[in-house]
Amino acid sequence: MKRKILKMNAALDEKMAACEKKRRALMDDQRTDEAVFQKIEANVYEIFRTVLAAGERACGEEERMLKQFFMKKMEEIPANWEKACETARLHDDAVKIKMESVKLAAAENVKVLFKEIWGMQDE
Amino acid sequence: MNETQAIRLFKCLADKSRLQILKSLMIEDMYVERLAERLGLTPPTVSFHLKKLSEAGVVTSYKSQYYTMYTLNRSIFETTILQILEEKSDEADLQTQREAEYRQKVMDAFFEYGKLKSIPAQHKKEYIILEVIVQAFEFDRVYTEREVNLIIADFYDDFCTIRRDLVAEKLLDRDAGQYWRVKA
Repeated sequence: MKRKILKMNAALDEKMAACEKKRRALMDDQRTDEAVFQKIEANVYEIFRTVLAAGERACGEEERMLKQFFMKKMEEIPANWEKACETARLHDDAVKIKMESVKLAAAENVKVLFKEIWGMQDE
Repeated sequence: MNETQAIRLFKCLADKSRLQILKSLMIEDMYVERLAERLGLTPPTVSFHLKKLSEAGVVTSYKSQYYTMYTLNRSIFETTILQILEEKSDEADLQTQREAEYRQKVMDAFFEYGKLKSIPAQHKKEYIILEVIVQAFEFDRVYTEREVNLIIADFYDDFCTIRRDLVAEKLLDRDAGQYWRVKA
């Protein structure tokens, strides 16, 4: 299980580094708001990296428990973003919609990564 | 355009994607998907920028068949930067109040019972105390150096320094041993 955690962390680090690279490029190109989207995306990866570390501490060597712990957080955390996005849609607030969509897309990326590394693609 | 609106406008324009959107809208009115295709951005990103542009009053929208078309608000660009700078600042009153408070603070620190305790080292503070002292002089009256010294001596023993500084700061003027207060 340790190997899977290391792999997941490495994948998240890679995503964060890619976001940072894009953010810098966008800043250099005077696209400040789009650079902020990259920062938001990177923050989401950082959140789930922390969640994984917390899961590891809470579940020890119990792989099944860790999977459940992480997948539960994967449902709980983006639920608020989904709700905020829905509310923004109701008010036709394109700014908020975009912000929440960035978070939701990043959370989806994390979910795909986790399932891939833990061999849960069919679940 | 007031100060808040001007700041919002400048902030809004300081983004390459938004400038590109405006350049496209200079050609003709467009809808989100068309702008997204032209600029290589996703439709939600274009919507995001259009919302910001709408809030700053730079673009407006209207319905045309199935589409929401965006159009440039050309009138906003007719305002010149000079016109914006000429607008009375919302901050002006606040600044005056802050200056008065600062002035009072300096006076409280350097005067005690009407006497100057010491000459401030900082130029800005010294100027404030000189402005206070010069009020002891009447306009449209010529003073001899002795009279000047006596008036200043009521505030501070080193009247020579103060007298020289009053002249240097153009609060007093002199000619042939005669002094008079300069009108602001």
